[in-house]
Amino acid sequence: MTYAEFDADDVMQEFEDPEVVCEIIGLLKTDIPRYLAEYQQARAAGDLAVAQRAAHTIKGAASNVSAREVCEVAKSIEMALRAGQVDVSALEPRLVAACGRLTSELSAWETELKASAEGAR
Amino acid sequence: MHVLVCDDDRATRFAVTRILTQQLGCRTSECEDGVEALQLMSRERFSFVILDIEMPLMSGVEVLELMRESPQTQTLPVVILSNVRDEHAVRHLLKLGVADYVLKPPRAEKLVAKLQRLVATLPQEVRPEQNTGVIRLSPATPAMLIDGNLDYRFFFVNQAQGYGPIQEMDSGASAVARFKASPAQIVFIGGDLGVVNASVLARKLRQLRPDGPLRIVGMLDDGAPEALKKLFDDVMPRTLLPATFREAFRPFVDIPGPLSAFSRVVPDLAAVASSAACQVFGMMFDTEVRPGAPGTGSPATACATIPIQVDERFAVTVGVYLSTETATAVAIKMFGVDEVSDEDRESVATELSNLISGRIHAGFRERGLPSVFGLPVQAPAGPVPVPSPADGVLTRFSLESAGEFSITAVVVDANATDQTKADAPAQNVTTAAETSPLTSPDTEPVAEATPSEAA
Repeated sequence: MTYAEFDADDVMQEFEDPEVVCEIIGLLKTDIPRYLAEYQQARAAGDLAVAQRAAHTIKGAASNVSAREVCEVAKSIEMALRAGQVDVSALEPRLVAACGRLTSELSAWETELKASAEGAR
Repeated sequence: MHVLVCDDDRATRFAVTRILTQQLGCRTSECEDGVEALQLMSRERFSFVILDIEMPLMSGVEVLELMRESPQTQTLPVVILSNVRDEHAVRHLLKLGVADYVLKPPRAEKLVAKLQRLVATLPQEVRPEQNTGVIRLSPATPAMLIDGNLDYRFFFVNQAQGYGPIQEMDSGASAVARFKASPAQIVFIGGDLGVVNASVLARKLRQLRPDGPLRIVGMLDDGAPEALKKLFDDVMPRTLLPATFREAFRPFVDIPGPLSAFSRVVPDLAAVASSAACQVFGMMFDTEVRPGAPGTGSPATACATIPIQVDERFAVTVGVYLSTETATAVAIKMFGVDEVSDEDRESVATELSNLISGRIHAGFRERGLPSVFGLPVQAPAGPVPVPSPADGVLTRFSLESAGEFSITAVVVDANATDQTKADAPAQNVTTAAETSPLTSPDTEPVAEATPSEAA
């Protein structure tokens, strides 16, 4: 299976062990939605500093699996907020969608890795 | 080496910690914000800090500013891990003094290269621990042996169990399962491990015990590739020769008792004893000696001992054990007689123990240790068992003569009461010399300790 939202080859090359990869997937599956929720709450509360930091954190977390789209959109939002540009609403649906696709694909990859490990036994 | 990893993202901390523990042998502490980082730095001592910039509560820049104002952390190296590429921020960080700057995502290749450069500049006391500490084996801290070969496991356990308990595992997979339930501090990895090979196993064990202590010893056949050796903290030969095995195994285990304490004061006791024997025989017979093969274990017929008190803490009793053949040969040379009596042989034992103990005593003094030399004690006439390789550190020689002789050094705590001494296990260091036709002294004496020390 190929994945559009992240670079599976790069991740496997870095972490080598499928069990380790599954561990990091487990963290990201939980954390990326959490960071996104923090971002949305901060935006709703008008707290730009926290929103900027949450966008930065999303970018950092997603970079661990070379998730290009999430990193790109999160970075654009972060830069815009840092520059004092309050209206980033055009970018937000892209971020939500990209995060959703990323976590779905990570789940699928995790299932695939676990199935091949099971098959090897 | 203890490293603080401060980043608000768990996946990043996971990736960094994994690199630090597995590739650089570091111990790590983690935190997710600047406040917690400063709290940890005030409580614990770190070799360096890996610090993110954008964090909740307090940014990495603020943390660094505060660190530089505190005498405790003023000079503590900080590696920035961030994807902030803002030139102004970077300039400010450089002004505050950062050791390096690594862009996210953390990738092993670049992070390891940068951290290795940093580690090279650290003071010695904060350099990485090399996992070279010896382990005292006990039921709570057994050694783990992993080898798929039943015969080799039998040999290993037979040779090593005198030092303490050994857990036997017949495959890498079973070792991982056992290690998860009961992690060992020292692991010996041999061959025929099955699907979970040595490389995977070593990595997995370190991952299961990232904070250690864990020492992984690879038991390798001759000619093993360098890449394989690098997987382990240490390597030893996967040998079936008992003497070679014990010589290789001995440095990994701590043996409780006076000999262990003494070996920290005189780590080269076997070499001191070897040197003493070489000097004495060289002077007496104008003959060079060389390391010899294991002795036959035939009983000695002449023996004398001499006590040496070292550093006011240790009582070292040096004993010289001679076979009839050696004692006769030495007596002929020493006394210039054709007929040698039992009394002559006893005198030879006394004289040799005097000379050899004198050189050992001088060796202690050369090492700056106060040493008081006692009077020789003649052993009662009759056969005396010659110490075998199983009795202690062993140094062997060949001499242009015949027969065998052995030297033992029994170490006890000089300040213990007589009752304590009597209760304490004897701590033997044995130097055996085998006399045979002279060959060139081209090899170093072999030194080894044996399970009897752990009694």
